[in-house]
Amino acid sequence: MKSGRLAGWVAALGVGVIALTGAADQLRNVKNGEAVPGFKLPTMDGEPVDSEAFDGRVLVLVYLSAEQRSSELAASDASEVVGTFDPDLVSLVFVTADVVHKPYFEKLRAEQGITAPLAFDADRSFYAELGLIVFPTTIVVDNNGDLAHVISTRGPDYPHVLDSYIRHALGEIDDAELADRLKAGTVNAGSPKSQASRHRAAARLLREKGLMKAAREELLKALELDPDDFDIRLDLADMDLATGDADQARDLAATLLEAQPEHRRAKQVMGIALYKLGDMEQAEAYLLGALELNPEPARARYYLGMIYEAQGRTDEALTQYREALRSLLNEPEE
Amino acid sequence: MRAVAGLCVLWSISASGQVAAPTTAVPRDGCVTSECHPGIKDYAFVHGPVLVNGCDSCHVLTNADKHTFGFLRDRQETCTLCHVVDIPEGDIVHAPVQAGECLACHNPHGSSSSAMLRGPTYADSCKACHEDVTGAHDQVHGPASAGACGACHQPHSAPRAHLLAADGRALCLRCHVVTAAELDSSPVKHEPALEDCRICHDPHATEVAGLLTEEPADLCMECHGDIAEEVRTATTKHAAVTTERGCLNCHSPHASQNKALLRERSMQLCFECHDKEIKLDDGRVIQNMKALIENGTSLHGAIAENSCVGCHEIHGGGHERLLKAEYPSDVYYPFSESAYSLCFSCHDRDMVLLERSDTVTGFRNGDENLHYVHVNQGEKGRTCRVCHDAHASDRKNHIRDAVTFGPAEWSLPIGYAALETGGRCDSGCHKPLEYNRFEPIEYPEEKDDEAWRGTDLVPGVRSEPGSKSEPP
Repeated sequence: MKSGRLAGWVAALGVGVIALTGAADQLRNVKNGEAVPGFKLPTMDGEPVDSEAFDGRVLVLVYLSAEQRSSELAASDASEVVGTFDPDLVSLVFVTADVVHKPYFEKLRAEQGITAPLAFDADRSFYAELGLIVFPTTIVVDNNGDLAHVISTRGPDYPHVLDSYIRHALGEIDDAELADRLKAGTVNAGSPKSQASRHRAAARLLREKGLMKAAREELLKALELDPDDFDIRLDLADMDLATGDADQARDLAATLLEAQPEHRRAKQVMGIALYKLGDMEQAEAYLLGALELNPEPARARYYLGMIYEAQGRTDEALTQYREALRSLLNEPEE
Repeated sequence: MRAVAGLCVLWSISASGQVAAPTTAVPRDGCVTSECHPGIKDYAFVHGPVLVNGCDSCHVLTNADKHTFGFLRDRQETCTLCHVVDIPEGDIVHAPVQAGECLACHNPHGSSSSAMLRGPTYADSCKACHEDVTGAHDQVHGPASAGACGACHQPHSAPRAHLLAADGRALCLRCHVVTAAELDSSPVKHEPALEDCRICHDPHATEVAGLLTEEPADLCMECHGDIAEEVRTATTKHAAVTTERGCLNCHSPHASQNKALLRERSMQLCFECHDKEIKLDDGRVIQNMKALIENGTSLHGAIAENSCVGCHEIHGGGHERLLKAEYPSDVYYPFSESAYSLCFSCHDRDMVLLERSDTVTGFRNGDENLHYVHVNQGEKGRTCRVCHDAHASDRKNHIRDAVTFGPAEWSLPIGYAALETGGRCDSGCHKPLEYNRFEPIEYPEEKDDEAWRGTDLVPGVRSEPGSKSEPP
């Protein structure tokens, strides 16, 4: 990277970097293959950051705007992506002109655990030299100090694109491989939690059709994506109940109740499992406990009815069945 | 084979046309004649023993007087003596097979099918026990419609539930080779299509085209709850989502070459509808976006990336123009940051907030920020759309040739010309004015009564002929 501040254009070097970015991923004043202007800017931490310090390394510059959601996301993503590379090979610097929003950036860095320097371009001279168009703008500078890639704004595939551009700038992948990586791929949209939610929904659809094995496989995938989700575990326990594995359902519910003793659904599943295993007394206790917390008691009441019926407590059984039906039909209490 | 001895005594044919049963043992080649058991061999496929008159391989005479017969062996062994039904260990066995009830499905004498089924199709046998899965549905899976249950189900045993011939989607893709190829060759794949076709499809019959278990929009929303919520809560609906095939209007359900499983590249998909003016119920007209964008040389950022979703809520939203954030629809609007939140979601708000800057914008006369002068005003703040087209134009920075203005919808010319270090506006808004970034043009102040309130760029004198900022 050229040191000092350069006003205007720098003659392009004959670098064979093919512009694989979209038409909008540009800077006004620096084109791919041209030298990126050097900078020496004060940072939030007090120590100035000098572009010369990054000579010979790939540098990722992310120009942010304060209180802009896509800037926040780009900051988080860039930190995560760059963090996977050798720090001796790839560096990250954030830049902003929003000096007056220093407290906002302090809070953002603290919340996201960002350690990369945040430089202040207070007079926007660096901004002007680059010719930025939008925020955030991510600039990948190769180890010769030349502009390798630009990412304008921050789309959902930003982490993947940035990772690809860094690898390309490092020489890990060639132009053809970069183009291949940038093609649409089977990238799962959404967080692991939302993916898990979709697998859970697919499991429900399959279960409704009686396809238990397939439904279980979907739930196992959901669990892999979101291992802490109680409801997925309880869906599996419910499946165990449906396929006659009451033992397994009981053990699973017991594990969940250890962590959350008042978990309504876990109590309900435990109650049903114990009923199926013939432990009526304990089953009744758990189901009554679930009923206290349960806004939709039909299932718990149904099994309580089954317990009372097995115990010869016919009137009580009838009451529970009636209540279960009333709940399902949304009829008001008499 | 046991020999059967004896004479065949035929009674005279009775008036009813039936032949009385013999009362003595009959030679095996005499069981089937034109009078006795005549139809036993009238099949396209005749059971071997029947064909060679080997009736005694299964039937044994128990009472010659009464011409009654029993089975030579028990029911199942009658078949299994010759037919080995290989049931691998661990397989799920079809109930009739388990019970030795071969004849529940098979005709021991002959059939129109080589499998010796009781009817012309599998279904004719299956329906004896299984509810008709095709029912009265509009859409019936081909094999089910043809009664070809054996296309998917193994009739004797299988290692998987429902006696399916293969696991999950492997079974479907044995026939649906086009879908298989699509999944193989496309980079973007719908995960349910990689897992189990039955997540979305019923293998027998439904009311919905494509054998979907629900209408597309409802089905997709089962998993895509976040989108469902967007669609449900949208005050402005997007017809592409709410009409006809719902999600399938834009998305491919199995696999695609495009991100988000779009059938086409994003903007091309939008152009399938937005290739003409669309008059909305409230009288507003959406212009022909395809013509506007394809004819433009200067494309707004997101448009240049072939995407409308940078600014628009594609599934429906709270904004009447399906914008993701606010952007005034008129040419005048009192400035506030929130009124331009859409623009500022990408662009530097200081471009409008700073009265003076020599870096934040190129639209400046020296350090006098002309965006500030135009936009950052009270009631008569000019909105970005006065000068810029948010989609495309033929000028740099998407500057328009003209803007529709006033109740008469006059085409107000913008008349912008870029100069080497600035620009010139011969607009319908004010007298021709120029600006120079590096050698700002001095405009003497106009007196109040001469000022064209709220309409002049800079209250003052216009450029003089021969000035340095004249176009080259």
